Amino acid sequence: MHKEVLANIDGVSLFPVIAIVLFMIIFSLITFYTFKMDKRKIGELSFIPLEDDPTSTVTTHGKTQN
Amino acid sequence: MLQNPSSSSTSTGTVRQTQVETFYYDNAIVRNFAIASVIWGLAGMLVGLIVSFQFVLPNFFLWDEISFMSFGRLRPLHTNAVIFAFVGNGIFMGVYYSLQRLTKARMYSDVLSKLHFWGWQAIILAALITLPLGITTGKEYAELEWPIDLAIAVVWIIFGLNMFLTINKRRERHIYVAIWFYIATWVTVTVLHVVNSLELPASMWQSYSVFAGVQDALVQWWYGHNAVAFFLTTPYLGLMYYFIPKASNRPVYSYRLSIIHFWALIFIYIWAGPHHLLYTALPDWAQSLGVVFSIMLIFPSWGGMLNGLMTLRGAWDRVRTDPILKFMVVAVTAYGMATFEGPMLSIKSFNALTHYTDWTIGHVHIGTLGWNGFLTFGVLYWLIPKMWKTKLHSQKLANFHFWTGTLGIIFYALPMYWAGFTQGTMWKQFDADGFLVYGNFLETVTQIIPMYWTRGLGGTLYLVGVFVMVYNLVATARKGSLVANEKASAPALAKEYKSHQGEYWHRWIERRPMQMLFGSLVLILIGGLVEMIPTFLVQDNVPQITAVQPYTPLELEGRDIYIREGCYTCHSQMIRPFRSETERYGEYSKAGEFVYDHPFQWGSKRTGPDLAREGGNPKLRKSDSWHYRHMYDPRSTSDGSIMPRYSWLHENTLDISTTESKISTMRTLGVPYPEGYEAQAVADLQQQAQEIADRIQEELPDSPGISEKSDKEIMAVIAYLQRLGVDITKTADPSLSTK
Repeated sequence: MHKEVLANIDGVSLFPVIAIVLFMIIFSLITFYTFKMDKRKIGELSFIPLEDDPTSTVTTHGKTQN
Repeated sequence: MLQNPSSSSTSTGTVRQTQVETFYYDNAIVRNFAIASVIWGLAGMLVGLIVSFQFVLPNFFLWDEISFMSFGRLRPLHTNAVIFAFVGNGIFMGVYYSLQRLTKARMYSDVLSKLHFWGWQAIILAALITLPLGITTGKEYAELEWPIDLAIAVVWIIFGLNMFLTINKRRERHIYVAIWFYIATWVTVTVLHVVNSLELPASMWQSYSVFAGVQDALVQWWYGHNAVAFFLTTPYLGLMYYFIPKASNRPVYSYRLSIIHFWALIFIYIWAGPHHLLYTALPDWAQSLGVVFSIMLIFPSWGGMLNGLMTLRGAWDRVRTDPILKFMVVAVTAYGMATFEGPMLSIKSFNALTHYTDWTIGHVHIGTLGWNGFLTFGVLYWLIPKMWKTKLHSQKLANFHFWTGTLGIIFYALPMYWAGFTQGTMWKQFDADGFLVYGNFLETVTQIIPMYWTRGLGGTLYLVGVFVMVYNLVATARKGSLVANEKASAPALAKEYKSHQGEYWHRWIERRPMQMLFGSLVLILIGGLVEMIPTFLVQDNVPQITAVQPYTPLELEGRDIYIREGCYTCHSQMIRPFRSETERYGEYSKAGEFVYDHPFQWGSKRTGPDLAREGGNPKLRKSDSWHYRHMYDPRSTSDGSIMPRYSWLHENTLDISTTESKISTMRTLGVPYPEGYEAQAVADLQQQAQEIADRIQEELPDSPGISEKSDKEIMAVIAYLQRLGVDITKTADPSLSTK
């Protein structure tokens, strides 16, 4: 029944297809670019939460220095 | 001490010409939200404990007699309190602390912060008063009525304004991943709240959803699921990305993974709502879409979980001794368990067994008690000594809290899984002759009573742990003193920004909060619109069932009382197309049956039987006098029933002052009451009520005086229950029309 009903809406079958294609494109783009990121920059960015803390003893590589 | 060698507050690429500025972080607002989270958390969990014991002690002296203590009214109070009061204030506590540090700026405006804080507490207070009074929209986790909905929108905008203006004056160029989660949370909750709260007031404290039936169900569960996704999950993931590195003193395991985690999660989450409506009258394609995206959801969810856990690499030795890390590890593990279980429960064949059972209750409590609760506790144990510049009063007590809490979760969840599996299979069992083995629904309830006792024990353990935490934190605060304004310094952000060569595009958006907001908005709107537009367009095309007529005024009033008493918290009105259900309840539910249901009342849990054909199926239909006695004392007609008494319905006079307004509101929403019917509505209502009262009197000749009670609320409830499922048994019958 729903197929008949939905058939009355122009191009409704394309809705989910468009959505999944869009998702795949965005997902692939983000994945591609994140793997192209500069390693040094990543270290820098991931360090932001620890910067305000004077007790922090951590380097960008996550190893504690005593 | 060794700092990150390549980092500086001005970030690479900026022109270094700025001066170091001194400013103060606002810790007082963080303290306020922390206190609010704990106090409301205790209250919400206490209400949860009360409702859990109502299952096993249904006629315990207090809650049997008092309307505002009954399960149907307290359950929404419990869910709203733990979601919006406990976790809500927990979110704001974490956001106000971390946002200031991550942006290296004080919150934009102390006035906005205070307005946000007191506004949110006022809303919670309003919920605390209105929900037990039965003032509710009848939509799960969105029960608050329209004036409070408006207040929520205002306060939420104040929060957003304060957050974005703070981000705007930041001294750190790059917007750390935690803040992306805060931004996505804010924008999505705004959209969800506005759309799901579209309602037309019939009076000061009552409104009807503008959507009806299938559309209302789709909107509600798009909202309901994403309340879990964007209120209980994304902001807490933001907190995870800030507080786990802080507590473990390690940067996040993979920043790359956090980027993928963020975009994939917010895009996929928004689609998953229809998994709450599997096998219902919702179109199949929407159900399938919900299933596919729910299963996909496991990947970003587990990516995030692994990212959180792996952040502790090299610090696992400390997890053995540090209660803060213990809480955080169990929290993230619970997140992983819940997000594995969620996709599994979305598989249709598995959902057929678990839906409407206690399995769902077990599932959500792994999320709330484990993920939200334990992360909040971990953050509190880290935050309070930090802001009060002292050490935690007692590590031993914190460890004690950890173990009682963990045991509490286990004692809570395992019996619920057991109960769900037991009841789900009992519902479906046929004997050799093809009859239901447990034809009496009550048998499947009494079977799992021991599980409800064990669940109550689990909840008690968990709450005891929280009380111990409160003592520990108060003692900690007493040892130190709050640094209300914490001094900090950072270089101002350079006005000019020169991007470095080969900078990848994603860093562009990471510097721009408004673009981030817009990007998140577009992604979540795609999911919402693709699912909803076709279903809304279908409205005009679905072949209407001509026999389905609007409710009579008395039935409408009865329906409103059904909603007021929270009957939907235990009774569904949605028969799935399984033989086990059609045998028990009658013909499966059709989309066309619900076109006048503002709001829909399909329910999500069957502590009692489905009521969709209560009046229309001759096998189920009871006499008016049966309902009259059953509502007064369920155990007088059904031995061993755990349903609350509703004796006040026999005492309260039905309020007919708003009947006319209700009829005209419904007509505005598209229910075809004839023009001018309002003038006749009350007379029709009184006539129908008198007929019911006389019928009951005839059936109960030994109880004089019932005929004179036709103005009581119970008559309206009986009228509604007797109407359920009737229309579909008839061909278009003009006598059913209100004309």
